[in-house]
Parts: sequence; structure tokens; C-alpha cells
Amino acid sequence: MPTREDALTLLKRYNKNPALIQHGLQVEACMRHFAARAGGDVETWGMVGLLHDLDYEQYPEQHCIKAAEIMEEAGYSQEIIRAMLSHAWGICTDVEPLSAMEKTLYAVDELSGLVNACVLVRPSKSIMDLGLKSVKKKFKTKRFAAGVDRETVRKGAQMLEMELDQLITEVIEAMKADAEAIGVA
Amino acid sequence: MSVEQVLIERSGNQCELCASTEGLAVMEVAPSDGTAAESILVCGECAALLESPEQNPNHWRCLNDSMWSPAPAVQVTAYRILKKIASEGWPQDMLDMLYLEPEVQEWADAGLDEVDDNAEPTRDNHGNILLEGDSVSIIKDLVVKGAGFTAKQGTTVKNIKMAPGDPTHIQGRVNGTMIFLKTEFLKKS
Repeated sequence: MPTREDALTLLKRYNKNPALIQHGLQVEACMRHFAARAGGDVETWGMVGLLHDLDYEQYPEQHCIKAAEIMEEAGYSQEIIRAMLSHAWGICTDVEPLSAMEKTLYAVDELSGLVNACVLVRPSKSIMDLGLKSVKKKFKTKRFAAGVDRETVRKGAQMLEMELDQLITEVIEAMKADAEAIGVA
Repeated sequence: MSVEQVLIERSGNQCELCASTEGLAVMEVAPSDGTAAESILVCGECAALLESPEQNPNHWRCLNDSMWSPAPAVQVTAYRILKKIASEGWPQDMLDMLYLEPEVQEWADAGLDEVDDNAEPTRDNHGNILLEGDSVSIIKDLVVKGAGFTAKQGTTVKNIKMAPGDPTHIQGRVNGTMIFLKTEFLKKS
């Protein structure tokens, strides 16, 4: 089974855009946080987060499908590959998120992008002084980071049986805990 | 303090778009009153490419950082460049994340309109001119790259948006997703 370092190397092999690598690291941080909270395997959940957009830069027209091929060849488990496929449920794949790990990935992927954008527009460029209220305000402003599908985030919260406020708070906390490594310190 | 000195201080003496320190010069962001607030500091390479950003789209990956500048003039410049090269795909992803305050958006769009006045009109398959806000019908099934669905023949796309600098494409929402559509496969409704 590949290690976390192997996964990061694989991500960097297929992605030269620093923003995509940073997104992988941010989703990984969220996944590890939620794994610890849910009693899941932190390493497995983290790897799913890190690699979920593995093929997006080089194979946007085959997003998820190509990643599954690459990951299978690299020796990743079917559990990890299925979770990766499920994050694009209804968009690029018909793999519905069913396990806690898959539902979490579905819920935090878009939301972590929104939180990152909230950080980037702050004068401090830091998540350390970012609160729930600020993210909620931006969530309601449809033109802010318009690429973030609010409906997917809401659906993700429902899947996890969490209030939206709670989900946002957890994602902020997850990203704060790893702020230096994921570029939001 | 001169405009240049203000911009050198604001930028840390580097290009406000790509962070290069070579050949820095002041550039007004039209329509501009000539103040530092409505100007940016750019390097020689960025200045040379600004007129036709599509000549080297990959150079503009630097906007991934600079589009988040707190300076509205930098935000406006980044927005206009990304709009011009949006059909590359990745610039549209960046635009989807960018947010401009309403007055900054107005400024950014004003500049785009100036460019559009001189541009080739966007036409549908039958040669009809397409304008912002029009409705069109898709005349052929189109596989949408990256979105995993087919935009079906006969689908009506309402409230279309132009693709600045590219009369061969328009933007429109299909299956809830904003996508680029080739005008040769569209008919004005």
C-alpha cells in the first residue's frame, strides 16, 4: 500500500499548478480532521483527500476516470479509488457517496475551496482570524467564489447529518490546525 | 510621492501580476484617472503580453496569486486577462473563484466593453449576431469536456454571456453548469 509520501509524489507528478496541489493538501487536512472525529483511519481518509483531484489538471475531460486508472496502477485500494470517484457524484461519475469517508469528502471538497477563498480576500491572508460568521456571509453571497456549488455543500452537510454551521466550523478548525502546511497561515 | 513611488511601495518593487523584478513600469488600468489607485506596476514581459494575453496563456498562471491582491487595479487587470483566455479552461476555474466588489466589477467590465466595441461580433450557425442575454438552441448533441454530460440537441440556453476576445464561443448554463459553447452549434432563439 502506498504511503502518504508516495501519494504526495504522485499528486505532484500529475499536477504542476500550485493551486491544485494546495487544494489537495487542504482537503487532506479536512479529511484527517474528520477521520479523527469519526474514528476512521486517518491515513486512508487523508490519502483520499490528497488524491481526489489527481487527474484534473492533465485530463479534465476524463476527470475521475483517469485518476482511477492511475491509482489502480499505483496500488491504491478499491476503498480509496471508490471514495475518489464518489466526490464527483452526479457530475463526472454515478458513484454515490455511501461510506462516512465518502460522504465527508463530498461535503468538504467544495467547502474547503470556499474557506480558502475567504482567507485569500482577507488583509491578513490568514485563516487564524477567520470565523464562522465571515464564511457564512460569503456562502450567502452567490457571486463570491461562484465556482463553489453551495447546493453540493448543503447536500454534503445533510449526508453527514450535520448543520451547515457545524460543518463550516469543523472545516475552519481542520484548516487552522494545519494552516502552515496548507498555505493559509 | 510620485505614482511610481507609491506603486513601488505597494508592490514591494515587483510586478504586481507575476512578481518579476525586470523592467518595471507604471501602467494605467483604463478607464483611469492616472492615480496610483487606478494604475499597476508591471514587468516588461507582462506589459508586452497585456495587449494579447492569448499569445502565451500559460504565462498568466501567475494570476492564481495576484488575482487575490487587495489592490482593485490589480484585481481588474487579472479579471480582464482571465476573461480573454477563459476558453483555455483553467482561467475559467480561476474566474469562478474570483470575487470583485460591485464597483470594482463595474470598472473591470467597463474596460472589457471598450475592447468589445472593436471586436468581431459573435454569430450563431446561421450568421445571426448573438448578444449578452440572448437565448440560443443547441443544434447538435455536444459532449461537455470535464463535466461528464452531453448537452442535448434542442436544449435552450437562456441569458447567454459573451466570451470576451473569442467570437467563436459563448458561455451559458446547461444542466446547472456554466459552460463554453461553440457558436457554430447554436441557433438564436
